[in-house]
Amino acid sequence: MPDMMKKIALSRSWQVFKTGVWNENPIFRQILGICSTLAITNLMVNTVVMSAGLIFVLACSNVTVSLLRNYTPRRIRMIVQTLIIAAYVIVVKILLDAYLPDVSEALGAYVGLIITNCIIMGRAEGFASSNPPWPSLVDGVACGIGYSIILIAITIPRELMGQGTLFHVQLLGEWWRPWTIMVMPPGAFFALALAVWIARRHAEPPAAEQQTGGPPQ
Amino acid sequence: MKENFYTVLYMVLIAAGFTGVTSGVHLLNRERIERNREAMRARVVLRALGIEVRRGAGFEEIEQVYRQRVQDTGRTVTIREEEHPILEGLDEQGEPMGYAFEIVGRGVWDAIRGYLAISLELDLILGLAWHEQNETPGLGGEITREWFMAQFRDLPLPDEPGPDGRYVRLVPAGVEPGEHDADAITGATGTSDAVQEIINHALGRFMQAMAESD
Repeated sequence: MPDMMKKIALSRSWQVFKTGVWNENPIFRQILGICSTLAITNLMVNTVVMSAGLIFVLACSNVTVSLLRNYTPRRIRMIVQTLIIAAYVIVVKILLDAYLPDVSEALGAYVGLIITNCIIMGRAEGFASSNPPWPSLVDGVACGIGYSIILIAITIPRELMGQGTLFHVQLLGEWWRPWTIMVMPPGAFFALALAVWIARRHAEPPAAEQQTGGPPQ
Repeated sequence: MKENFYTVLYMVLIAAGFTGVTSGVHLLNRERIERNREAMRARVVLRALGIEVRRGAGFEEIEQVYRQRVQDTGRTVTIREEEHPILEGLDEQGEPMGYAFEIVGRGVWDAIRGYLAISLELDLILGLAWHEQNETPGLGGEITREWFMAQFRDLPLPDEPGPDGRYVRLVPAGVEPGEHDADAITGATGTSDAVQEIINHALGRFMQAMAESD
């Protein structure tokens, strides 16, 4: 019997994970976190650190919001969530300054701007505030990974075509004339639109979308 | 009433708790962050002077090299109403090889700060490096990349500034750079203009300071 329970719990975790990474992917399903997606996806190094920071903040804030969910008065829950998220973002910023000063310097203001990433608030309010800590942790990590996959998918063509490099390593030879527009803001719009298009073509539409005929907003 | 009291108390406790956690993390890492900042500045001075520090070197190593190879001349240069010490770089034998001083100006988004190194004869820019900039990553942010900074390594300086008051120019793609020129960054005209202005302004002030102190 305990085996059975474990299996059920595990399959529920897997469901939550799959939903976060793909079925309800924050970027191409929920259209959340677009600002940072457009802003930092022109260099691979920045993208990877941003993704790691976001996964950490998302997982920690989801667990904390979930642990406090039965004690937090309903009407101040948003303020409490913002406070929790801000605290974790500051921790990330301090740790980057202390242990990865070069990367912290390169990311500049973007680390602080994780606070305003709608995905974190969206998951805290939409999932963690009504679910136990373990599924909330899984949901946080999954949504973070879902965000990162799209970010990386957008960054690869942008950095490669825009500068001929990946992780600052020259991959395309002298013959390649960099498409500067790819590292400029318009390049982000092209790359994001293409990524969303390709991902949505290959993703099965969730049941809700089939009924309403549009993505959840 | 009771509910209101609980809400206020809850908010105060949560705020105090999280402030405590972030302050604690900050206190634990404060010294490290301070030393990182110092080391970064030292590294930038060394880079401008063309003195290599091993990639990935910790702050102790950087501080040690800095103590051996850089000294204060006691002279200063005033750039945009800020007084900056003129430092002197020493070669491996401990002989003076050039000057370095902080340069500053407005970039596209925020202030840009760096160090510029000039040869003892004041006829070459030895190098240039930045320690503070918030230019657009991938565009203006390219000023921190090796290809851009390498252009200023041993760049000859004219005896007198040109008719436009400039010592060096950043020329756009397609224009053949002259003896005292470097390539601008394509797609980042604002940053290129800002850098050109910062360098020329600083050079003017520095030459003046050196002429006055002689």
